[in-house]
Amino acid sequence: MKVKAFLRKVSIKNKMIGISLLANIIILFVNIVLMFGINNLSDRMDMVYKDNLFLEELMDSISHVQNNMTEYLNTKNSDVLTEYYRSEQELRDLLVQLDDDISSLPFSRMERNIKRMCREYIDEVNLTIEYKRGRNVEKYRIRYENATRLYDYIESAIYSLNNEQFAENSGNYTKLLSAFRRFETISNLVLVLVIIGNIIVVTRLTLAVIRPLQNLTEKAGEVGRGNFEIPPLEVVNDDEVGVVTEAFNQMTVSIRDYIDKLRESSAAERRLRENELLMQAHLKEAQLKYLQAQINPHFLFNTLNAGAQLAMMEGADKTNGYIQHVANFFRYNVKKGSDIVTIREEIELIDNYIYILNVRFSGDIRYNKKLDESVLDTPMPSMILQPIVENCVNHGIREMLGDGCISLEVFRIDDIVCVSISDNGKGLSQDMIADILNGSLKHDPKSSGGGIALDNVIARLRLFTGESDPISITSEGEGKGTRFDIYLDV
Amino acid sequence: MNEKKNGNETREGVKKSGIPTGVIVTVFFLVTVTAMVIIFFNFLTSVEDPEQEKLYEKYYVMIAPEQESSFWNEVYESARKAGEEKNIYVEWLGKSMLRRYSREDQLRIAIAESVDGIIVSADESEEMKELISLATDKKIPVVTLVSDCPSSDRCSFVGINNYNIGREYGERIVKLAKTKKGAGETVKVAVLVDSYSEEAGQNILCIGIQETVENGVRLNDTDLRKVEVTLVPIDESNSFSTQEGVRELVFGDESLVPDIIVCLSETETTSAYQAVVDYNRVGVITVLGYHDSEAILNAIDRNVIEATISVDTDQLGSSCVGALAEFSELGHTSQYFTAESLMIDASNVSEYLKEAPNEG
Repeated sequence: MKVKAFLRKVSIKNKMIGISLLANIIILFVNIVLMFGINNLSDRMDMVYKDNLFLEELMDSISHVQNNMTEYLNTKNSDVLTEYYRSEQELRDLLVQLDDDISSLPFSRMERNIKRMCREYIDEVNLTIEYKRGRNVEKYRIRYENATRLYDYIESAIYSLNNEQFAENSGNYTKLLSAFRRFETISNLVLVLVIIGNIIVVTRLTLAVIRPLQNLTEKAGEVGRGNFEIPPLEVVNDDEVGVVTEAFNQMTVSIRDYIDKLRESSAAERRLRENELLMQAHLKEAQLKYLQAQINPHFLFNTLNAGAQLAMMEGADKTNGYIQHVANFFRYNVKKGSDIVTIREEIELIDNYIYILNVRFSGDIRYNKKLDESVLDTPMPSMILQPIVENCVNHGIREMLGDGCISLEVFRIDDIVCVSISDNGKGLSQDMIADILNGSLKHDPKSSGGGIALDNVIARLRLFTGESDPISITSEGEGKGTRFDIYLDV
Repeated sequence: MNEKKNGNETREGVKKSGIPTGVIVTVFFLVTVTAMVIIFFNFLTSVEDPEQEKLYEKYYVMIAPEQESSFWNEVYESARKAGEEKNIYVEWLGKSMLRRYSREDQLRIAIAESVDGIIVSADESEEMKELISLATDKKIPVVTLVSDCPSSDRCSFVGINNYNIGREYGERIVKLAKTKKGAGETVKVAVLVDSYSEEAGQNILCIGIQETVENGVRLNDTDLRKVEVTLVPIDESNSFSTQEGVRELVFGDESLVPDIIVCLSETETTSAYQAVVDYNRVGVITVLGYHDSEAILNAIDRNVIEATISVDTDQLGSSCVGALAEFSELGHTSQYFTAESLMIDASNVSEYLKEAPNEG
């Protein structure tokens, strides 16, 4: 199939030229054959009467000889004699053209006979002339009679041949004419058929060339309407359309890839923005809750400072210390409310908070710290540890009357900093832990006193770390305490 | 061809075609070309003359009086066949010419045409003799056929034993005489002879008839019937006069109407037969014919013609050609060739009727 391989590489321009050449060559060929046939026919038609014309000429020539002889015999004019010799030569020349074969074809035989008779006649006429010149009256008269008789025979024979030929030729002519008519009909029919065939062939060939282009157009339209999910077009030929098809295929693939990338990046961006928004929302919620609870920290803070100064002036050191701690506690809220803080700062807040609680509840709560100093500057969201500790106090150890203990531990495991808060309170059931972690625990606003809820803490931690489990809550069971572990990246 | 994969393999959106375009194009092209070639050659051969020319070594002409008679046709045909075997073309001169020439003119033409041999149904006229001599002078051998010119320079004579034929006719007439008329009555016999013929054969034949009849009547007939044989001259110089002459005889003067007509040529026989039928004289006039053409044989079968003489035409034709060929080869040949003759009547006509179509 070398031809196929070759045809694939032919350009559209050459294909189109080839198609029109093929069509024209077929028509040309048919026309040449038809023209050849018609020419051949008309040649034959000419030939039909050629023989008759020749016989006419021959007869004229013999008549000349006869007339010249007769005239010479009458006048003995030397001009006539010259004329006679001329016409005799002419006759001899003509005779050469006649057949001399004994043929099975009657015409040919008749020609032979005429030729022989003419020779005999010429001899006889020559003798007549000779005797006339020799004034042999008796002999030239006999010769003249013989010659005239021969002339008569020849005339009759030529007439016969002419007639026969004419009849035959007329028959031939009729045959030729009918053949011509038949040929004409057939050739017209053939021409029509060839033209129809040509149209079909040219249409098909053109379609074959155009089809990949149509295909391409169709697909391009589809892509234009936004459907990139089309199978790649097959590259049939290595022509211009093939090149364009290949480019088109590459283009659709590139567009598809580009769109995928765009979609991915926009999704990432959206996720990022959502995170940010959520974080802000949660923070605002925490702040709101805090403000609702604390009314006005500035006012409180200033008021407490004033109270501390008053206590210092009165020499009441303990009161002064207590009020200082309370003031610090509230200042932290005012100062760090919206920021990312360090673990150290969060622990300071816890220290203050526990001090305040111990003053309030007369040293009921034991507080143990075990800190890895190297990681205390690790950043974390503010207002995380305090609500947990508050939760421990409120739900874990408040009713234990002096036996309650809260332990705070900060340590490092590889790249993770773990902040661990545990109590020895009444503990949590596994269901409650699960509820807390997925945020479905409905806490009683009255009992909690309006503090920041654990679900808010967990949500903010998740937003900050980007992990789904930044906190783990474990409890050995009823009465065995609860432990909160917060995991932060270094 | 390039379209084939395209048409069949493109996955969608393309009309699929059953036959690949390449095949269609090729087939179309081939069909066109072959159709044109066939048409053209068919046309050429339809116009071409199928007749093949054959060339002969020698050229003989035959000069015979009656172109229409099947007798002469048969003779010519056998001569032509015999010539064909020897690579000689035998032409019936009178047939190929539009104008009707006399035998003498035909002889002159044949001489002028310088043919290689002449077969002529001659007579004994002086002109014929001179012309035969002229031909012989020009080294053209002449064979006389059926009717001779014995005093001429002809190289050979191919003929029929006319005296024997005359005797056969005579015997038949004697037999018929008994059935025709009663004792003492005269049986009239008319022998149709060519009025212009100067040839002796006819006379010999008539003599044969007359002698046989005279002897036969004298020897056999105790009732002493008279048999009167008359020669009725018929002008055979043209085709119509024969017919008219015979009619006149049959339908003419009652006292002259013969009881038996003896015809000495095929034309006379068919004319007599036709006249007897036309004038309702079947059974009244008995016809003795000459030659065995199909029409004559059929007439015998239907008892309109009593009997006919059949001459072996094959022998006649081939002997002429043989004699001429022998003469030009050896310079001499046998002076006489005689063809056999036979009387055909109702008793043996069926044999000849079967053969007749083959002969004619």
